Amino acid sequence: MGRVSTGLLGGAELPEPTAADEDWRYVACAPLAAATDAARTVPPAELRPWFGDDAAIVLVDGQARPPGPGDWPAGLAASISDLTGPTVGDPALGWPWRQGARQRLTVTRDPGRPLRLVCVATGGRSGGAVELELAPGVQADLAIVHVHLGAARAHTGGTIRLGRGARLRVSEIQATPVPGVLTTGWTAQVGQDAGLVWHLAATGGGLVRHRIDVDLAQTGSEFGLHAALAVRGTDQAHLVSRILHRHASPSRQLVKCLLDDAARTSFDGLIAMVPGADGSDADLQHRSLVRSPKARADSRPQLDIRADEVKAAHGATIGQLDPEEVRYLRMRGLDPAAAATLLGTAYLEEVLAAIPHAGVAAIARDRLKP
Amino acid sequence: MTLAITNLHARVGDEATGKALLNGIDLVVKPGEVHAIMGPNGAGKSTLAKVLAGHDAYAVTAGGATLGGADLLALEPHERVHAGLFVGFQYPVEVPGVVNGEFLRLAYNARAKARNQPEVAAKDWAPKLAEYIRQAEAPEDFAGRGLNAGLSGGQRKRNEILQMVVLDPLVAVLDETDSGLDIDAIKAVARGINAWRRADRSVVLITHFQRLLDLVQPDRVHVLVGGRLVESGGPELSARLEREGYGRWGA
Ligand SMILES: Nc1ncnc2c1ncn2[C@@H]1O[C@H](COP(=O)(O)OP(=O)(O)O)[C@@H](O)[C@H]1O
Ligand SMILES: [Mg+2]
Repeated sequence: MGRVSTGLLGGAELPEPTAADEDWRYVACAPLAAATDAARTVPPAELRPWFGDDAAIVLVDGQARPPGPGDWPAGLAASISDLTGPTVGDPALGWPWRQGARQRLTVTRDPGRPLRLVCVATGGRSGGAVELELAPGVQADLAIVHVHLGAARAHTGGTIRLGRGARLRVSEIQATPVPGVLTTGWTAQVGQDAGLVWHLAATGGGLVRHRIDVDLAQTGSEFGLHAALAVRGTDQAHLVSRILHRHASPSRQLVKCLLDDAARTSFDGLIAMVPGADGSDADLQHRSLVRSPKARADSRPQLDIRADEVKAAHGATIGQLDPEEVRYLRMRGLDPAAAATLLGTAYLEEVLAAIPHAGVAAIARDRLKP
Repeated sequence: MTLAITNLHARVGDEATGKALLNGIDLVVKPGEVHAIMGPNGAGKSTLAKVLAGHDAYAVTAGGATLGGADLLALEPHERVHAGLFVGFQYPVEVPGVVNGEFLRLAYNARAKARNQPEVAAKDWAPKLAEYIRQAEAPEDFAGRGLNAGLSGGQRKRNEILQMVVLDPLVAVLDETDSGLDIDAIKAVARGINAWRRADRSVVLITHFQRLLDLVQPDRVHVLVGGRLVESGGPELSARLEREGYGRWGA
């Protein structure tokens, strides 16, 4: 299971990850050492489009922007506290950063509108963390929007705790290209009969890596992952998931990668079922559609099953466009490029159509347009 | 626009191991005409349709085909559609994940663009498509269905007719569009074809059955056996074939 949920630590910086680390094995790490742009001040008007009408926490280069009037519904504002301290790092991720805002958000009643975390990076190295807790029975939607306005090295992550029967739907998207480095690391603990569904849409960049660790801690804790990575040029995008079933609990994961040019993607997913997880049912599916001979898609589905009465299924396929389908579309008047675009769009749509937040889904569709 | 096929020879596979499937087809289809091609299984009927459409599994080894005087075989498959040819397939391909209505809009726009006609924006497509669906007598829910995926064999054939109506060809080759359809569906397909017919539009119906030809009257009927047209005649020929079969040609 590797390093399980440990939360955030203050203190010393941690060593840089390298491809020798088990969960970084598919990542080309050179961009970690590349120079970044100087961070700059972003006028508020430039940020507005990224958070729309949602109740937003905005982190700019790791610093929390104070909420503007109307950013938070009354009653919710009080539930935010700023825990920003000195340098922080996340040992679950093996990741250091230089500046770090840390926001805690405790949601005790249905927020009435989507929550949004906007992570803006203009340059330099930065990181920000959020500790989100949903009280028992609370239902919420959270959009996480990554915006890179320069060559920056940025990390966002934190902890999510769902009380009994709570439901959280997360839509995490990359809203811009990432000329530098973007990494995320979320550690979630899902309570009894609570559910976490995570939608992820990414286009990669110099280095983009997402990691999600989920502790299905109680009976009936549920997790779903729907991820689309559509990458072109020499960009890379990677996804790591670590799902721990402790009691009878279901998890479903569908990860779809679409690669062009010399792109690289990987999905490294582990389903662990410990003694006591009897009655659990896990399914993990990874598909890669590779449209160029120079692209490289890696897949590493893993099962670590130590309970008897469980179901665990995984599948990984790597394929090209179906020549029969391309031919049929051409014989209906689409040129080869249009046929490839239509098939790529259809391929991703299975994931994108499930994003519950329409505004965010529109950005994702636009960004991932094949 | 006239479709003229001259001494057409084609094979599947490469020169060494491939198999000759068309062995000299001659056929001229003039504007407004309806031609029927009948023949036993394995005669090469679908091969002819696919060669005309530009299917890359088949190689033309001799002869040729022109559409409106231009060399049809020199065109890429999508360019043949833009030039005004439509081939409805015996086994339409399933394309999972693609929504029929969106596909039809892209296909329509590709043809419109090639003809220097205005393309239709996504927001204006629904009413236009509804009108095409009505014309083709296709089921109303076809806009939102998958592109053949999730459709029954019969529904796929009806989807081919819808595609024909949307793409507005001048020459349509329909390969066994009536197979697998019940009598009501055949009638609907026939009404769709008849409504689409015009003095400048011609159609080649590849079929096994008299039923469709009772509903869409052919001007000429041809018998295809062993990759050749072995007999041609008027509408009465199809009735005779239905009675006597293809035994006299050794099939
Ligand atoms: N792609 C192919 N590969 C190998 N053989 C083929 C292929 N297509 C057609 N054939 C063969 O060519 C012959 C003619 O097929 P087809 O044109 O489908 O006949 P019809 O439509 O008249 O029933 C058959 O013997 C068939 O098996
Ligand atoms: Mg056939």
